[in-house]
Amino acid sequence: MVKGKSIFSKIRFSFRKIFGFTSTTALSWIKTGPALFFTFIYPIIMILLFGYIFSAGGDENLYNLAYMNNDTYQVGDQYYSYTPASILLQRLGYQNSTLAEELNLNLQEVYYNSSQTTAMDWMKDNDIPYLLVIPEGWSATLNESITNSSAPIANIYYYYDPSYTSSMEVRSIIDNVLQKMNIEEFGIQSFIQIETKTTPSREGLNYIDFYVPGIIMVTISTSGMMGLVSTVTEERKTGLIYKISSTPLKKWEWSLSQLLWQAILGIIVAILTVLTGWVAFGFNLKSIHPLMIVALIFGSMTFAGLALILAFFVRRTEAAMAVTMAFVFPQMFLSGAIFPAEMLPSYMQTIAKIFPLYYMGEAMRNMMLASTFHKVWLNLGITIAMGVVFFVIGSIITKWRKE
Amino acid sequence: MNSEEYAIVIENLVKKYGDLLAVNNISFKIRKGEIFAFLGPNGAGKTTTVEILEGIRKKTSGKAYVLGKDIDKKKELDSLKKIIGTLPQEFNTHENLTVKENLRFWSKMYEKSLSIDYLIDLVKLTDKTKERYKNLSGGLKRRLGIAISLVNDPELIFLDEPTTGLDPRARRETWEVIEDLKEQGKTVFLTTHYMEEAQVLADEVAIIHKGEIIDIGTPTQLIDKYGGDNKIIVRCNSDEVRQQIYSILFELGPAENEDKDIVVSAKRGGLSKVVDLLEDNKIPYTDIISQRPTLEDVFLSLTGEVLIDKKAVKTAT
Amino acid sequence: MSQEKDGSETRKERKIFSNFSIGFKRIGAYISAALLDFKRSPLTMFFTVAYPIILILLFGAIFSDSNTAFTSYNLYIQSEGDEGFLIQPSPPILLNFTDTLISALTDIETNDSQPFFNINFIPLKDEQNNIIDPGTYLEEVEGYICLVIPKNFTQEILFDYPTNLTIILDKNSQSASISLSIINNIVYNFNLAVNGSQTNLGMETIDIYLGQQIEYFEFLIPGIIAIAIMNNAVLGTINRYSYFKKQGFFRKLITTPMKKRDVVLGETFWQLIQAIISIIAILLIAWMVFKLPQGDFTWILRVLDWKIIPVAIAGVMCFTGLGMIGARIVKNPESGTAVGNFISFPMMFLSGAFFDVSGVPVISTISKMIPLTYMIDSLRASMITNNPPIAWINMGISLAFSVAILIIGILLTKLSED
Repeated sequence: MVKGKSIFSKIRFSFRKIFGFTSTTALSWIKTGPALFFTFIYPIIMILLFGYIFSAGGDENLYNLAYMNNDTYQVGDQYYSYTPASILLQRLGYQNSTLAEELNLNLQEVYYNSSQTTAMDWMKDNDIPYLLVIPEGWSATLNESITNSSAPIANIYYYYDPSYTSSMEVRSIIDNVLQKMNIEEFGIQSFIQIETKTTPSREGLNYIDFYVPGIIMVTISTSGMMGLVSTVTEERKTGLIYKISSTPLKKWEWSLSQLLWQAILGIIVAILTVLTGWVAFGFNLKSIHPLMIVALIFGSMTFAGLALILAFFVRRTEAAMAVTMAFVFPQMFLSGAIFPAEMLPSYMQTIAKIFPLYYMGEAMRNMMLASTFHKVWLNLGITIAMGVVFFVIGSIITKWRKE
Repeated sequence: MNSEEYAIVIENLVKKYGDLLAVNNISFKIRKGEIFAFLGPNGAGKTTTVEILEGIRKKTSGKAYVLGKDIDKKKELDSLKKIIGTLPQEFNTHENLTVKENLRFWSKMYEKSLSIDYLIDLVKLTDKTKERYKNLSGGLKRRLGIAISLVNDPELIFLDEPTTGLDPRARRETWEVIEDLKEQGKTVFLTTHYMEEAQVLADEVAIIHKGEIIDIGTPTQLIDKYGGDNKIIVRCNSDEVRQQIYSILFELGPAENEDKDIVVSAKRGGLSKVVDLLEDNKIPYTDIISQRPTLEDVFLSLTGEVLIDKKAVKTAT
Repeated sequence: MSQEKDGSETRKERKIFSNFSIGFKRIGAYISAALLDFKRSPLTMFFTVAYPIILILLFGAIFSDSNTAFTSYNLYIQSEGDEGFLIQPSPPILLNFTDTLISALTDIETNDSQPFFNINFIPLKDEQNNIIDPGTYLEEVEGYICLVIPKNFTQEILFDYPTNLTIILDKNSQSASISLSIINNIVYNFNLAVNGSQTNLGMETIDIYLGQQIEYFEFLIPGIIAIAIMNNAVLGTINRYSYFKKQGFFRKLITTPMKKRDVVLGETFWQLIQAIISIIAILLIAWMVFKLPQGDFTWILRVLDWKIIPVAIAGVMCFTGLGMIGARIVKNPESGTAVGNFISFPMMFLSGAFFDVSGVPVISTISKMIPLTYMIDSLRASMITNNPPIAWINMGISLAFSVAILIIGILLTKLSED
């Protein structure tokens, strides 16, 4: 036996072991068939789903607004069509598909017999989310109100089902139309006009551009962590891990190999997600920043480390998976990656800060805008620190030997 | 430490789990190039001992030197892993990988390894090279396990219950492979609860029971020492005949074994005497066998217990 | 003759009856084994009890009215200075529309008398005497909306109208949109006031469930229940079945008199028991954590409706069926979770359980094709909005879906080896 082997040959040996182990993990994983497919399909589905639902504030949404026009303006024997009621309907996009699309409204005329049923009951019976009713004589009341300032306001009625989140949005659309109509039809001079601008560097950035990095991190944290926990506990159960410990493979080489595989998976997921976002929703490829790779790698390290730590404390596969899910599931919702954190109450936003995913999400977001870039160093720094700390602890405490 | 002569030296090895003594102060030596067997029932402490020597379980106290290296010293233990091979009990490797892929994986754990094709041929798995591990039969899986344990051309191989759960033919085929190892000059430390296995394969056998080594010796030595006398076994077809045989041989102290055969010790009466007695009385026996004592008998006489509960084995099938 | 006939008929009846009871015995055995399995299986217990509780606590905390912590919207304002304008009746009045606007924004309150806006002022210049660009400043403080009031706003309005009021906002922020619409309203009313005019057109909004006093959070509960049932049934079934296959359990089972329909019935019934446990857990937690503190003691009674049971049955049938279909695809228990998640997670959002997708182009069509949507609608109509016709229609559709999927699942499930 040659004593004092050179450092070089030791390094070469380590590489051989690590490469062999990682490539075998990959091979074994690939041969598992359906799992491969579903793990990769999963982030794609998430992007498609949420991209559609949240994209650009829903420019393509079309709300079906039911309406009933009871206002027939009669002068003598003539029914006038050029009445305020019809003007209102026109402004709401009646027979004007361009306007309708712009307003996101699709008008649908309906009828119910108001002597037999109320609007509310009728809506409930027919599962109608929102109904606009122009009452009888509305135009007359309106004209009266114009000439006589002490006359009552001419009100239309908006019935809505509060269980539909879109009911508020529809209401706001109609409100806007009414205001505009009020000003334009009645010669009211607008003294103040509102001009909206988008924040400077968000120019050209849409929701999807923030959402893609979020989804990538969520996938790494959920699938990555669950996969490793499952692998380690299973290998402990089958005894494979003990056989491995009787070979020259060192523990740090083993955990590094696991990490490498997680990182590779993460990169593949990232590429797939970015491509899907780009193809389906026009994700802005320029918003990708090289530092994101750093976040990805150290993010993988964090969750690999957490997986190892968890697998140390919870030995049985089933229990370990349950605990993992109890952790990743709330994390997914609270971290702000799936839906905007501002929707959460403030105390929940505070709770979100105990989850590692929060800092990764923040780091990714900070990278995308010049104005927030200086915050990257803090969040990325935390990410890197967590990655190193958790991974090192996880590698050290993992038990290879039986008691 | 005569590392030239001995592959393994154990001194006062103890393993305790709380109050439970799994391994109780055992000492033994294994010579290089021999097949050494630990023979004992389940729970005797065989696997625990092997795991301690492989470095995957911590001992409570005692000393152990494997191939001249002290397993207490981490560096020596690490260098040891390069030159030993192991086949753990109920070992399973990557399910979805083929025979070849599995061997390739394990070979990457070592700096130098034997040729994969050579190993496959060695354990006669050539026509199953591309078969996935999970689709192999139990015997073939075990053979692959042995091939895996040889990947680094080790000097010393630990085989923990290598033929448990195999059918007789697979068992015999595995024995052939193990015998080949000896011919290559390797040392084999084998644990088993099959007395035939120890008897056929081992150069030396240590009888282990409840964490203690009762005695060590070659199979022949142990049998001569503890086996007792040959047995004469008389078989028959009916209870009636059985009764007759019993009464005819009464003066020889007959007993009935679990197969319902009548058994007499050869000491009390030789084979010819028994045959004469039965022939004279025209007893329609089906068979008379003279049986040498086995390690099973050794174990029974040393401990008062059986190695394998045959009754339990019978109902399982 | 007739006596013989009677005899054989009775025998036949007895045979049918005994077949039934043997069938029941087998099913019963299957279920008790499943029950024991459950008690020893942390993962299943998690899904049945913990997961729905986490969901309800999460969404309740976010949406419940008992969450009195309303956070004001952060509005940033940069004013370039306003001299105001002195008008000369006696006594003279100094008009300052900048101040008026800011007061209006400061004074506006929510229904609970909490200030709507939390106003922050952006200085014009920084410490190095450089001009601060409000848009950049807004981004640095991670704000979402900023109002820039031009110089001498008052005089601009009086003499050089129309005047532009610039609002810089993050177009992706919901808070920004809400804030914008409030500001819009204020400006609108201001315009009217300056005109000496008033609103002639108005809109009265009526909540159709006004009389029933339902808070938004309650509309989410049926969704949570349905999702909990779905997850449990799909994942539970996939896991159990692929595990059984791996263990060779089914292989053993088909050598006994147990029939495939007994297995399926047993599994479905077992899932139903778990579903009921989930439902009880959800309702109890919702009641204790979010309703009792508000003093609403009888909520739990109002919400319990017998129609929950048939919908739960439909749900269980459907998702057990889906689980069986999934188990056919999955080769080992480990990938079972991946497949199960793949089936159930998208459905959660596609069904419109949490936010309505009726206006979203592709999604609304898809949502009509998945069974979960109808189950949630039926549950909502039974438990929350008390709308029996809708409940029945949706229940019918759910049942139709469920039976179809369950039959497919049965046909696909092979107890024997491939």
